[in-house]
Amino acid sequence: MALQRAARVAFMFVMMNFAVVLGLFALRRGREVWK
Amino acid sequence: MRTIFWLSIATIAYVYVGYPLLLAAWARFVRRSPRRVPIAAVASWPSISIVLAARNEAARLPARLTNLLTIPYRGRREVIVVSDGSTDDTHEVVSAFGHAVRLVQVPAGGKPAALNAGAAAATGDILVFADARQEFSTDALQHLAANFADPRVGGVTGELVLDAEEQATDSTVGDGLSLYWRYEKSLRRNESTVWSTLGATGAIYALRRQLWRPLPEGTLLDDVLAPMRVVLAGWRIVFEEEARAYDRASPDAEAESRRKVRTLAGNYQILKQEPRLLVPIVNPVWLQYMSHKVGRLVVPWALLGSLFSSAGLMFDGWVYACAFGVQTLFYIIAAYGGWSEHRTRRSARFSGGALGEVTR
Repeated sequence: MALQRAARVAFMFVMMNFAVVLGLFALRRGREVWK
Repeated sequence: MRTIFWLSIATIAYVYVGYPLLLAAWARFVRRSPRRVPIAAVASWPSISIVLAARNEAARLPARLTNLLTIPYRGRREVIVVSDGSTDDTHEVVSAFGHAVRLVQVPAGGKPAALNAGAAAATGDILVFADARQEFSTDALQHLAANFADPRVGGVTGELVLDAEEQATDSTVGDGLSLYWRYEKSLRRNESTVWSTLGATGAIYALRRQLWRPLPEGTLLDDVLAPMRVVLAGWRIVFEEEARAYDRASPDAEAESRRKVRTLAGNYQILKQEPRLLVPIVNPVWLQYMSHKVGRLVVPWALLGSLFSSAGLMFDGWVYACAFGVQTLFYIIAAYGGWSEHRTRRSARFSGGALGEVTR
């Protein structure tokens, strides 16, 4: 259970950093995104 | 190669460990709390205009508007709903509240245009921004407004409380989100104490109306751009933990990823919209901004730099070999986390589970 929790936290960290890269490319599509 | 490795490691360590420690020490040393008046002692409450931008929110608005109209506030309050080209029953739902809620209708043009229309229609001294999805805590409005007794305060951001923090969620990314959100809030708390936060929480923040400047079309992060313009004008944005908005965590990694991509695209966009943020003399929170916001944009590249440079140097010394091993192990664990999240999400779908339903 602890390993699974740590694994999910690690996954979130990687995902967030990947989002930085995707965010750079998504900027052009930004206006279409409604918050 | 060695330079890339050590520079990458130093960047990651500074952004995630060094800066938070530096900030905590700074906040402890400075202790520049706003001259906030206790709610019971406030003699005259400013008038407030609550601006809520909505598109096709007919289902959520009845509960939301009831919440905004019934929580205590001793000053004058007006609630403005800006319908951004809604095609559902949003207009009828708002009209049912009679004179208590003002409806402003604009053609679909995105949130920034809706907020501009709401701010233009507002008459209160303070603009309070809210979303349709959340719910404010009982004294949220009064706690927000009490901070404006300090003439240096130009804005106040409340606290967004996610169900994941209370372990009351079906979200498959609740653990990671909860940890990340608590970490972010501790940074925000200390940044507020030092001088100002670096933005606000879109779900609950307030600005002096006189400081509002219309948002450019296509703005992705109104809750960062508007407050940071106030900071650049020499005012403070403070964090008020007693003013809370309750929300649910993203139901799964896919939804959270979409939200994150949008946020981070917004962080790039703001540098283009407000290049003054990068100028030390002009931006009163330059060090914090570079360390926190710009640092987050640099870290992914530093992660790649440290991984590939340590791979290239792994036969040059045990430090590099260890670094490569640790990083590889970390990514394997993260991949397992991703697989586990995907499996949970899929099994919840098959069993008709209520991912994303609030369980609080």
